[in-house]
Amino acid sequence: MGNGFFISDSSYTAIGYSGNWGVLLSLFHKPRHMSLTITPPMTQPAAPAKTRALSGAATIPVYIYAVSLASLLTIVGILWDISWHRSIGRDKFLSPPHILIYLGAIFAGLFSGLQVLWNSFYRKEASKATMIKVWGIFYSSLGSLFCIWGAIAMLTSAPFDDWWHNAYGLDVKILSPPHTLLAMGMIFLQFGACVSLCKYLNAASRKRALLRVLFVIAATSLLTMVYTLFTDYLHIRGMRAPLFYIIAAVTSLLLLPAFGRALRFKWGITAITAGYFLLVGTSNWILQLFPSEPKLGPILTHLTHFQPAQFPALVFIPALAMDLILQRQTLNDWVKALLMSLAFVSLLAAVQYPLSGFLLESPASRNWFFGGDTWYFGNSPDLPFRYRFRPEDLASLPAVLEGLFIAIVIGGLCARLSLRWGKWMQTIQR
Amino acid sequence: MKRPPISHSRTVLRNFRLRTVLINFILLFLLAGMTVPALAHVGSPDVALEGNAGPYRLLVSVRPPDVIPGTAQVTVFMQNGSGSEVSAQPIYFYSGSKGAPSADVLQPVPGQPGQYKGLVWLMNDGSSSILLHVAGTAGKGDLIVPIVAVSTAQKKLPVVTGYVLILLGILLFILMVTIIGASVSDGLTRKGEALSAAGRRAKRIGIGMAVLFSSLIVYGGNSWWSQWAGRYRRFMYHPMHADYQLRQDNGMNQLTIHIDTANAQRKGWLPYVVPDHGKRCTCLS
Repeated sequence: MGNGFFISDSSYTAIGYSGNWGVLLSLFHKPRHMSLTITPPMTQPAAPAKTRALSGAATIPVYIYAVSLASLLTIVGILWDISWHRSIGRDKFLSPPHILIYLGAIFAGLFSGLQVLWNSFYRKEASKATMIKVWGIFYSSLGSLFCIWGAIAMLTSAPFDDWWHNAYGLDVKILSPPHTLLAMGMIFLQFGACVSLCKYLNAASRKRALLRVLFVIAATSLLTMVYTLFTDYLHIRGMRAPLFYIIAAVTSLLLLPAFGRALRFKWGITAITAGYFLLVGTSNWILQLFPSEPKLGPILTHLTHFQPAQFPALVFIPALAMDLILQRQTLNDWVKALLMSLAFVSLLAAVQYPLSGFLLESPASRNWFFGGDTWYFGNSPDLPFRYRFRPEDLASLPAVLEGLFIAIVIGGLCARLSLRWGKWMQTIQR
Repeated sequence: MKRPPISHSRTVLRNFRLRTVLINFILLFLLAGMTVPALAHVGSPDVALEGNAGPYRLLVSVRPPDVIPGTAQVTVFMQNGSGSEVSAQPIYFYSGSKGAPSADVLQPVPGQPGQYKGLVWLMNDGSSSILLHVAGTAGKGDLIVPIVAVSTAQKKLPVVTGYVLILLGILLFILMVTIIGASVSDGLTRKGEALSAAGRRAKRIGIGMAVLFSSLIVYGGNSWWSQWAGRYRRFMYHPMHADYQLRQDNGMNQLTIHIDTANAQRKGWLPYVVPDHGKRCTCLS
């Protein structure tokens, strides 16, 4: 370990490190291409092979894995926490789901922060040219800045939320100022992971397949987070009224076209939406296997196991059509956006409108797979509309059609914005 | 000998009739001991009760949370018997013992034989009670302590926490502006290249937009917080204000009570206060 070794990168020629410290630091940020040798510099390989390696191929730094994993940890923690509140009710600052969420924040913040410190104080000047100079002192990648913001916001929300509980009572609503700060932090963290990955995806790395998998993980986490925030509007009971489709169009079409474009993969949107389905579905299927007991009165339904979230929407079906539209090179972005919105809204309605009836009303949905009988312990099990749509849930056909039209128009504008956003993601260099 | 089961409401009434003592300073005095100065104030929402849980004689103090939902602090002093297990569960008026969570064990207080402490979670406003279970060598017994769960205070942000949050908020604000500025300029510049004039202009515009955007978020967040606090204050318990006058009329004392009906928080309840043969009667269903 005491021997020196040399690292080559597209933007700098050779940087020497020695000793264990150098090896340790290299874990936090491996340069875009690294060759290890114990021979003196003059014995390095001839130029052609090295030039090819330097021109685009990149080794993925460890922090990239860390922030992708952190994205996943935070959203899994949130899904678990929601189930915890519906099944047990009582929680503490350091409940297992909270630990998972804050572990994600610490994980992302720590790795991104160390990467910034290392870039700022240990790397040579030439290598700093691959980074953004921040406040005249620090050198960071753009994605790391997003992740650091997210981690600080999440950790700031902890004492804020603790005081909030003391001042205004324990959680009875998802959306409160400290929870919103937490959610913003998570969204920034997850988006930061996507931006960090874009830098390497745009550099035409040889490990593009792995980068795409990591991007899908981060984007899936972000999509799930946004859907979770809008749960009140994206509920099964809302699938026969216009508002569901308007909110679904806005949230989905703001994100998915950008992700599809940034991912540079034919079936990127499908992969991300399928990831959402698998993430929520798997959480539901696993959580139900564990026993739990409500710990907060009044308990009107005595539950015996963790309650799943509602069955995830089959967004991957309209996503297939969106991918097909995105693949069409001849269409301009305005036409693509409108077609994507049209395809998304109409296919989503075609799938979810009938499916909502099955999930809510059919006894066949009340099982481990669909979770149609999921319930909150504070609600009476005999509520008259537990397994039926309430009258206010059902809109007339003209009202639904009008809502779908509004969703297509708003969704088209969101998709156009998102496509432009995707182009920006394709140009990230640092 | 095992007692026959009785209903929840009957138990409450009996305990009230026999042994209810709602003067909290007496209990505090007894619990704290002669050597510790006892502190109390009139109007405290704390509940003190002396009663029997089967064969055990208990002295109970419940300090309800001043913010609902919250946790009530329960202290039990067992006057006879030791080495027993004491547990507590919240009982809500409309869901009864069937709707109660499993009981939480109160922990013995070190150095205070016979004393137990613990927390009970109260999630909803309204009338409720805490059901105490005692199990020991003398057998088992229950005691119900009636309480009212209502928010009575609005807490201020501690100074240190406030400064920490302000500093972190400023850091987040500056970092947000930096990120958006970099996102439209440095982040898009090829490695090793300097920022172009167009890039510098984009950065300035980005930073300006970010300042505006972030300021709007801060303003919106502050408005939301104020609105939340205002709603909390509206539903927080405010004592009903009344003026009292005692006059002598033909050798008889006459008490006149003027209730401020215009500003009373619970003016909707006033119709339930009716005179009955010269006395005040409160009718509650």
